[in-house]
Amino acid sequence: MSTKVDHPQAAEIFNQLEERVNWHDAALWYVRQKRDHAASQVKGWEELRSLAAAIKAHTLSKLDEYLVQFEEAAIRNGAHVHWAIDADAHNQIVFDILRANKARMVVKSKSMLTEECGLNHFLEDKGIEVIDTDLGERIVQLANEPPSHIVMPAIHKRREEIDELFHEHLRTKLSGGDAVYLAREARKHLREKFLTADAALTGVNFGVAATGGIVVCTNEGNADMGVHSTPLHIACMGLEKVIPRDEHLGVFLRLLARSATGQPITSYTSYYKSPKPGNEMHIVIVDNGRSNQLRRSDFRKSLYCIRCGACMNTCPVYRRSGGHSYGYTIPGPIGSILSPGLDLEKYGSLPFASTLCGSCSDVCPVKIDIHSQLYKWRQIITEKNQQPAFKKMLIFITGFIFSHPQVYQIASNAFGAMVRFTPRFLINTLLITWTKHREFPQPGEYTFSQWRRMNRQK
Amino acid sequence: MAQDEQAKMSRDQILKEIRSSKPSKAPLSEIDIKQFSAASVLEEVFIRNVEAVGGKSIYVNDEKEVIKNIQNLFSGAKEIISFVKGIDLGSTVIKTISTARELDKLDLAVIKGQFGVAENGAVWISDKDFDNRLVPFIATHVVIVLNQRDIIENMHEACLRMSGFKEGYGVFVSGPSKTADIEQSLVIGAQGPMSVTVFIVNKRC
Repeated sequence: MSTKVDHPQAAEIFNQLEERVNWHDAALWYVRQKRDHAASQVKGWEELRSLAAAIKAHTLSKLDEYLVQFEEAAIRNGAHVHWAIDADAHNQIVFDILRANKARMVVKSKSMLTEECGLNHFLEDKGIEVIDTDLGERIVQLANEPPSHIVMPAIHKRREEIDELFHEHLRTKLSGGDAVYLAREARKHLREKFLTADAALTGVNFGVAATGGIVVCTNEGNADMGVHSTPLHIACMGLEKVIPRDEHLGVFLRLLARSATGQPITSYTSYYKSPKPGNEMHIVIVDNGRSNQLRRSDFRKSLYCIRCGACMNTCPVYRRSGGHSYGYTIPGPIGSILSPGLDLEKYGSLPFASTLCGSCSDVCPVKIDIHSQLYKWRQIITEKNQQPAFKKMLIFITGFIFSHPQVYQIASNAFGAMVRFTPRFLINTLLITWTKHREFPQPGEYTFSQWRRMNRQK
Repeated sequence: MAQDEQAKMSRDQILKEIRSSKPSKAPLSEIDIKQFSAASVLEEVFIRNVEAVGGKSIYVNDEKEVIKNIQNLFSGAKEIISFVKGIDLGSTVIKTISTARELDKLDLAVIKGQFGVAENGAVWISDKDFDNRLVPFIATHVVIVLNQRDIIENMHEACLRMSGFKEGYGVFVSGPSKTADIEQSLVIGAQGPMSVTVFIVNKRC
């Protein structure tokens, strides 16, 4: 059923337009720099990260208890709580609630979980209209594309493309990509949707076990516009989103927006406990592979993730290959350690979409050891899959050379000479993929051992 | 009912999975919030951050000054709701319990803030500060009135202070609604208010 994601191939397509890749790279690096500035303004930033990681470690160690506590409190507040084992169950639950309330049009604020479950298409097939109300999400929805980034869904789109998209779908005039004009037109368009929708769907950033409340962070105010203008609120929550108490919220809220966009906090941090009288509030707690990931001791820390996207913004591979090249809802480094847990066969190329530089782990606000996990997935994937004979032979030879110092001496001298005297076009074919977009460096005049003999052992 | 049974089975199965897969117990330590505290004049930091998040802040001595300022800043506002005692702008037309469609005409909402957070310019408001949750979002402009002494340093203090709030809904508002989804260009006024102005009142309002 699943077609394999071929990241190198998809990245190659993205790289066909050099100017565009450079623009994408710079746009994300700018966000990374804003994150650095914001982090530097906080006294005790590193302690804050450690604290966040410790809270997550603790929460996972008592996850069942906290989920039950959360459920009980939410029910006391007057919310309905549902449990979904997988994406299909989640979609069916949401549809059943909508059908029971005769809802035909829903306004949705950003939720990567519903993307993960493919909720929009499921509901649309059943005749329910779904309107994404985050501007970036609306843009990709109109373009019939998935988001390419979890915080900035349309980061891959140029303003001129958005201009044409709006012209086609919202009948705006062509403005050459005037961001203010386009945002105002989207505001009018979405305002009308809020006022006519029958239900609101939101994600959940944090579920507080002690209070049964859910917290949603937005900049646009779209989650609240939807929830408060319709009689039905359905919140979809991954089961790893639960935290023990309100005081822990303080830790994560300080980290989240700063890591995501360099803002000190999002414009709105909305805490929903109970529906307003006469309204309904439903919370759908979703597993969809998460308890499985929890079982894998090497990879369970990936469940700490608070979906800030900092690892994407800093990743040299993500910035130059684009979110769509990963073929998974959550792209970039974090997606590359989450997705193999769901389907090793399908997402087997993703852990290789990394230089293992470790920058993702350095910026992660909850200290997930992302690059170590990427490396561990590589080992599992390499063991499982039949490697090409050429690669196997190469690895064998390399292993032999490195474990025999005398052979190594001879080989390194020979290799240096070979690179120096072989014509460039031959090297480029010999070492095929590596030299596709870069020059093979010229070796120095001496090997290290030769240099050392001349200079240190007189 | 079969559906209820199915639901209970899902719940039990998920919890069973977690029980068998969760790691061994990790401790939860107390948060020492003092380590995150930096010496500074809180009002100054707050004002700086309100501006940084796209809002506006005005320092006033009393509610009379708030009214005067509102009349100057929002002279074109026709439909106004004020939930703040002592700030009656005389032009409140829309009944507070009304449909979203009616509230869409709202030009200005005036709301009392419970406390402000210096590190990010956010103000906490909850159900007790308005009687329709849509008001702080659907109004074109929002004014928040805050006592100077209700400014605290950071989100650690803020979450301790709002913790256990009794109402069904509360929100930290940090500046107006905004978006940068079109090529990272910041546009103030996305799906919510086009502006948020925080009046910091020197004495009790």
